[in-house]
Amino acid sequence: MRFSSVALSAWLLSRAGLALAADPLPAPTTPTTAVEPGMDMPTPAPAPAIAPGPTATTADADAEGKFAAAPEPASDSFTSEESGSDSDTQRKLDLYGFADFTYQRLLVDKENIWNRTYPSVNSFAVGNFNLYLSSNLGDSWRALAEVRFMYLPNGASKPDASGNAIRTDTTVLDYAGFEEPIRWGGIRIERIYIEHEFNGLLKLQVGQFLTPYGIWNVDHGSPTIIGIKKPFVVSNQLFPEQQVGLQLYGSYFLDPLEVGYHLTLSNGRGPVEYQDFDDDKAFGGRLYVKTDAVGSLTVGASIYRGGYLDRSAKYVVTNNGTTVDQEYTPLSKYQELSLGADVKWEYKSWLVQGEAIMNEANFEVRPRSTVIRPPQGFQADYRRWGAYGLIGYRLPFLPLMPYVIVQHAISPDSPNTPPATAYEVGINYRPIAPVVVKLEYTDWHFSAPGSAGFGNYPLRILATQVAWAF
Amino acid sequence: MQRIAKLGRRSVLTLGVVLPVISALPSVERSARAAERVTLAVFVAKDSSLQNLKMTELRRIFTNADDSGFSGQRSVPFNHTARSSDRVGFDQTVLRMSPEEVSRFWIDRKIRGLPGPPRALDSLSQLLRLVSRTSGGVGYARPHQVTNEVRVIRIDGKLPTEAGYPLQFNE
Repeated sequence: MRFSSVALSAWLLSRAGLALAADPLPAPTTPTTAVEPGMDMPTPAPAPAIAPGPTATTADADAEGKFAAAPEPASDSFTSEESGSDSDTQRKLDLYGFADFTYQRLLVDKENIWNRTYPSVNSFAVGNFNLYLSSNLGDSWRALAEVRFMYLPNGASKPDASGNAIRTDTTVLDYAGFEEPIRWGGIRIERIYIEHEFNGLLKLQVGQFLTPYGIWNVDHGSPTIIGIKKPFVVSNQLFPEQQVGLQLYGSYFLDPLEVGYHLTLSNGRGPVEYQDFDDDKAFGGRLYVKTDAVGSLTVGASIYRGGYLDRSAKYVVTNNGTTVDQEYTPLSKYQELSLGADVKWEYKSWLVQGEAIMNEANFEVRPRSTVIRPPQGFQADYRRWGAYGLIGYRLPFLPLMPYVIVQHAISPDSPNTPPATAYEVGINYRPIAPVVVKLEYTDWHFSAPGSAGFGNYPLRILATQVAWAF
Repeated sequence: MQRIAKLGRRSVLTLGVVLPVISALPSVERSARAAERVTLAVFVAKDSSLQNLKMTELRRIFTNADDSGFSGQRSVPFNHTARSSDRVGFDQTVLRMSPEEVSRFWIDRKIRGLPGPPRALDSLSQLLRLVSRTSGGVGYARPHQVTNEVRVIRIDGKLPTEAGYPLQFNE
């Protein structure tokens, strides 16, 4: 009974929502007789004669018939209700998102150490469950939030000082039932900002945003990106993935070129998103040129410069025992510079994209280096870099894109990680627009063993993923 | 295991050869039968100063690209519902995308955090009314469906009745 009341209320609310969304405009006050196109156009050439059209009513009826005859949208419900333009009349919350489900196997011998160190081997895993909340607030204001729901921190492991891998267990007893054990997960804020558009050249975002660099980091969602795993140079965050602060961006179209920019001012990389320990703001930017003259070609360059400070704190008593203060000890402090270049070319059914990224850090306070195998020294200054290239072709007779990716990465900041090159081949099958099925084989080659010896063992991964937008 | 590695490398090479060959195959779309020729007129509000749009500009308007520049006066596109015949023809002629490609385009764009597609209306009278009352509003319809609420503009310098008018497709 209670359930049916709730269901009825929900149905009524949804109907009310639909009615509001479809709120008809008042009837026109001027008579609407059909006219010849171009009649009101003050052009030197006389308007050409077109066979007199029907009255508006007839035209409407004609059109309604045509609209009614149109088949139901098979997969466009995700997109067709959006009101991105007339924000003043459609201030509604738009909820959407994406998720993915992955299975991967290692194609290596049983003795291979990757079997025990590679994450989520031979397992089914729901990796991303991201929910977007978007709203046009009116008068050129727009808000967007994206959160990711995670099983983490349950199951995450971290080595302790004596070499034990300590796994986090979030099991608790559920008081809402019979105290059966359940595990809680986490929520990660991917981005949240409000944006105001002053004009096409000047839009301001404040909040947390994805760092505007390259292609992959902005493509972001598993249904949108072609491969299953991010290239290492992207997942290793040579640029910070997100930043908290301000972003100015805009573009200008000089036919056939679109020139655009992004400028960021943020707390920069740090151990806490909402605190800038060293009050040393990071700045960055991206400049790109895009043209649709030869397919769709975008070339861009990005920069990021900022400081990092991690510190410990303890309470101390000062002023002859009258005041409690905090004393800070820096644990790690460095200045970093990241540079990136990217190109993306979509021509007919072809997709070619690539990124090259460099990141260097100069330490003022060196932390202990994170190595698994002793001796453990202090972190040296480093320059890490990497690149990837992707070529794909969407078949004309199937919504399927075979692709190849070649990537290379050097990460001297992490002595455990040897210089690596990977060759990937895969297929990206999109049976309907919101659903993507991927199959990918990756063959990693290491040019050194690395401090933990991982590079002595081959790593071959076969992975499959279903990703969907909802 | 070495064999698997060799197989993987060979697959990469094979794809590099096979993909260009596949791309040379004739497209299914090219074999479409000759059919009725449909013309779409693009219209704006009567008091709009817009007289002419290039096809590239029209494409950018209907992909929500912001070309307002310093003025901030943005064009506001209004679309027909997905999969209606005029929408499909418009998307193929102007955006050069099939319905599936259009769906993919907007899904990908929204996941990137960008604004979604233009508002789609299932009533032509509403479409005409909205365009006529929206500053910067742009819509399209068959010429005989256009009323005097709005004004038809040129595309690439041509009106719908002129030879070489680009916004035409086979239904």
